[in-house]
Amino acid sequence: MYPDGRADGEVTADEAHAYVQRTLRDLGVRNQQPSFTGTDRLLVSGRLEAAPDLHPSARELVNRPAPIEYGPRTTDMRVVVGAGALAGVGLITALGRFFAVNSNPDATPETVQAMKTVNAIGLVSIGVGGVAAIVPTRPGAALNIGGTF
Amino acid sequence: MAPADPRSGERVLLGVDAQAERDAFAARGVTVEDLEDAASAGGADVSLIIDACFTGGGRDGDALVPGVRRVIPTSWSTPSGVTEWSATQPSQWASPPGDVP
Repeated sequence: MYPDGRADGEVTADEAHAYVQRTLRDLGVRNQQPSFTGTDRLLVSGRLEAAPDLHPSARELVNRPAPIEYGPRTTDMRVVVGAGALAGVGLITALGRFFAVNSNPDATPETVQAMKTVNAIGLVSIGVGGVAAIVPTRPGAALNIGGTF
Repeated sequence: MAPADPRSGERVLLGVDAQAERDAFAARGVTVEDLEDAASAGGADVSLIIDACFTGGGRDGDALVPGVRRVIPTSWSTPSGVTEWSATQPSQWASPPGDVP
């Protein structure tokens, strides 16, 4: 059997762990290393099979890029809704202010400046809402009980 | 799913009906320590393979219990006769192949 590090026809827990660590390292997986604690013991002995060829199929699997989904996750909906509401309020306020000032021939420079400020806030709000809606996210739930965690 | 209990720091295996609430979080789970103690109580050799991590985070990186700071278990004792594997080191995040961040 392939984890038989000492080549003595027996595989212990410690040898199996070392094999897994070595294989993951060979496959380029460096940020997920299994943990082994407790008693080392004999797992299997006798007729041992040859190691499988983990390449290239395993390499392809490990190196496959994670799926990217465009749009919000369910858990992020509150952010998108909040940003969208902000954008909507900003737009309505800015437009209302714009028409109010433009229809008033006695508008002072201060009033015009206030209008410009409100318009700028509205534009920023629209930008935030738009970016929040299209930012790429990875799938996943906050509490994924059915997963492999 | 196996995070660390945010209150005690113990490693917990969560049940399918676990709730993402601070007070109910660990109530629907069992600690790894309790499981190992029970399994080895009769003197049996126990091998425990845990396909999970204990970071307390979901796949999206957020905490399992909103508003509760995640706890990374730093040390634990394994009873005599128990052999234990888990998918990651204590501070590492477990994920399926191809989804490793």
